[in-house]
Amino acid sequence: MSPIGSRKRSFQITKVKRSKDEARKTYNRLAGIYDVLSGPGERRLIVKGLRMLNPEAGEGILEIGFGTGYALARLAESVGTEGKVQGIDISERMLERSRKRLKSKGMLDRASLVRGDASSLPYGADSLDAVFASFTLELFDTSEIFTVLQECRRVLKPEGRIVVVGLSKEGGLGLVKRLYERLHQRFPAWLDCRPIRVAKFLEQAGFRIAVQDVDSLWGLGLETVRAFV
Amino acid sequence: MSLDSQLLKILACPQCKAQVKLTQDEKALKCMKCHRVYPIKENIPVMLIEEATIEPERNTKD
Repeated sequence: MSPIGSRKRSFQITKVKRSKDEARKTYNRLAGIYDVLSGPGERRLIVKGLRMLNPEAGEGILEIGFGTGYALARLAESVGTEGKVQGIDISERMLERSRKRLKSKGMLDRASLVRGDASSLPYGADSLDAVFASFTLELFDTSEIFTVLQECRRVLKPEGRIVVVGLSKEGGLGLVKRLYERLHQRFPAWLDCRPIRVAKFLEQAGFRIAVQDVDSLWGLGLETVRAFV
Repeated sequence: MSLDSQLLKILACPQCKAQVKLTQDEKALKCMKCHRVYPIKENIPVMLIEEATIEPERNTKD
């Protein structure tokens, strides 16, 4: 392959071929061990994303793909008794994990969870102050990422904000990223996220980018982006 | 335990985005426009279009 050809390919975002039901089943299987698998590296970036979101007391905040509820519980702490955290996830086992975590932290009253699909959000227009998503957007197929972000725009209030933390084509080491993408294509059920372009997708969906930070985790690129409606 | 009132206020049909209301038996949410009914399982609304049923006759509260 020519150098030009390989460079061109490195800019392409790989397709996601599995169905929503397969994704649901995968996350049902992973629910019990996800926190061990994701480790402190992922946590550090979630905390960074939450700081960038800067949730305030009294706000209504939605997390899409809340998984085991780590960010959800922290968001619930931040919004206080006057605020409310909304959460949507497709996996019923992840819902159970999150509910347990919220309960153990005494935060169950501050969060409302629904099972659903972020590409067709079950919330009215202009109903939320902020949206948070970490390691979620890159699970959707390329054509759907745009739909998910447009849905986020729809449910956000006119001054609303969004923070997205995700695997990215930006940053990281080329060799590690190429190896990871090959493994993702070979074992999509286990390495289900793949690098995307977070800020670019947000811009395409009509958001105004305020901050774009690029990090590296085990040689993989990561973007943390804050944007406004 | 019933659904949170704030959640009920902002929930909408994922298909047509119209308002949803609790059914008379409080076991589901019904879209007032397309009549899709979304089940509530263990106090969690399942707002998935593919798991909804279409029930024009099902009554809602108020």
